[in-house]
Amino acid sequence: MPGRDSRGWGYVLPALAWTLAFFVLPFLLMACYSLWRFDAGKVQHVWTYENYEAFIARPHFLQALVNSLEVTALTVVLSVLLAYPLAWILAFRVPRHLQKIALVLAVLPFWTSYLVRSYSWLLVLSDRGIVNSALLAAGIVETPLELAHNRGATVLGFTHFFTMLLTLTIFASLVQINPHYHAAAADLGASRLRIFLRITLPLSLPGVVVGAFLTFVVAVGDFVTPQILGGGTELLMPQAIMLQISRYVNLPMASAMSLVLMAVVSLVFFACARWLRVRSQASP
Amino acid sequence: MKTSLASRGAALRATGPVLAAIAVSAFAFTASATEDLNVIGWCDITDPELNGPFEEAFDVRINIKTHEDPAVAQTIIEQSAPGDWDVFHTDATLVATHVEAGLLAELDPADFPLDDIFPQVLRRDLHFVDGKLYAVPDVFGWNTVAYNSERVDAEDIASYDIAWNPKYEGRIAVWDFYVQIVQNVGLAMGLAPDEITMDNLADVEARLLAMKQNVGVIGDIATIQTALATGDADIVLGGGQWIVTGLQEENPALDWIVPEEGGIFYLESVGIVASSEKKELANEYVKYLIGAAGQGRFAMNSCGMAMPANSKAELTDEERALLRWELKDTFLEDSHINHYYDQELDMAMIDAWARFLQH
Repeated sequence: MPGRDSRGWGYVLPALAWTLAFFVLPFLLMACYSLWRFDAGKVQHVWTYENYEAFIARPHFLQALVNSLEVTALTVVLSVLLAYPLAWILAFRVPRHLQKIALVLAVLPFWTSYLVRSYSWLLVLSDRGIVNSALLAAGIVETPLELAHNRGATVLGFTHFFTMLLTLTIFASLVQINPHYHAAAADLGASRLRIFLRITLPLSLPGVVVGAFLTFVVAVGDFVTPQILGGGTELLMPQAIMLQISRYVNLPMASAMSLVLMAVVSLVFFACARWLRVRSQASP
Repeated sequence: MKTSLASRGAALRATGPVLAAIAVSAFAFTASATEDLNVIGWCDITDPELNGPFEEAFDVRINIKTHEDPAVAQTIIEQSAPGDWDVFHTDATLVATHVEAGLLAELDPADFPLDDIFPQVLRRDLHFVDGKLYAVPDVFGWNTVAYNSERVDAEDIASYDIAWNPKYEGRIAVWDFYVQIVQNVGLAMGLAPDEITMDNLADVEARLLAMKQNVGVIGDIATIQTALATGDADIVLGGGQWIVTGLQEENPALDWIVPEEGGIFYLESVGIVASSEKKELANEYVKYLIGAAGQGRFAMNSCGMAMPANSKAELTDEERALLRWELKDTFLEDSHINHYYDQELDMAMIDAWARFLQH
């Protein structure tokens, strides 16, 4: 079978080359940078752990990591809570011939630039924005509510974006569930709630986990939304990393912090992967 | 998902001719410009209205990388290959540092209308090193306090103390350039920029942290400008004429002030990178920037208007009024020039700044 093997390698090679060039090599380079010294405004090629030590020694950097994880966790939970009902309605309540239109409407926000979307939210939430103007005009509040430039605004901006993403992954899981399962359970006298809890929810969880992980990865490393909607009043990891680059071009420190963030993402990935593997092994 | 892919295909088909047209026009432009000139500078150098006439006259394309901190720009140039950069737009106070690092080429004073430059901004102590000219001033302005005069009391805004006044809780926006803000806080404490040292930085940081309760927004230029425009902030610490002059047509209530404790003035200057392989062309560009026509366009640039260094800048009376031409002598007298610090103090300031952001 050598011919088949070499043909197999031929198919794999482009993807392998792509991964090597655009993931493995940059990653190794970043790992090297994280272990080099930054001194007198220049990168010194001296191996050291001092960037990692500096990260651990500075409470404001550790707090940035905690802030990022809190914001991301809140975003994931809210996005799942909003996306699941939406995906369920799309999968089971919207007539099949209208599902495609509904899906297009659901993903419509993706067609807008991420930056434009964040600034649009700012115009909605700002002191003179739509919400405050309406509340003031209706006499509900006397002074504008502080809706923008805080953690809540960041989470709102993230949730708006990721609810759409999660809706797609959950919808894909829901439509794969064999409808006969529901019919059989109903025939056996199960209530709608019981059918949902014992059949629909467990079988759609892989879609939820995959979507939640994608949301986690993108949100934890996002710089734009916290910068625009968060107003920079608290430091998240992407901001802390950018501070090292934009104000000092301290690539070693920025690399070390990026790798810490990447390690956290990897831990979450392995936890999700393990859960999915265990679950698939446990399934009949 | 098929719908999504189909839609994307349809979208690509629909936008295909447009993309092709853009590609063709980009190629046509590339083909028409015989040379490239690589410039590193603040965003005020990016205005097409400023560079367009020079590009046309010299059949050149100007490529610009923007920075918000010339010390960072120095590191970028040092980490680039020789010949990557031709023109360096920096701060006057860093010219000697750039020269020491071998980054700037000597200029011929006879090439530039130095007699027309305002005497306060052509600095022998900054633009000349060992009697040789290395950079010429182009525009200058102030990093002080910008505000909305309809929402801030005139007596309050007269002093930096407004940043700690509980009356304005949540109403302050802060430019996220730590050096500037630390200097503004220093002025509020009676410290001139060059009086901030490692010994008193802890006091300055304590004052900085105390301000945080009043701060609603911290961000880059676009963020704080947006905050002022949308009413999310009424006061911008670190802002000056460059924040509000572009917004005043829409909202005349936006204003700026040099507080009674004094201001910080920045003095942008332009030089030629020592390793440039296009020094003659770069020299022509610098001459254009410092000339009367270039100075008029530079002063009114779309990123952040500023006072031209050349007293003969081509500006209308309205434009001069907008820039407060008549008040420049008073403002300069009341201000300290922007200061940069040694590495130890600079790194300590970045740490203090990070703690401020996290506070």
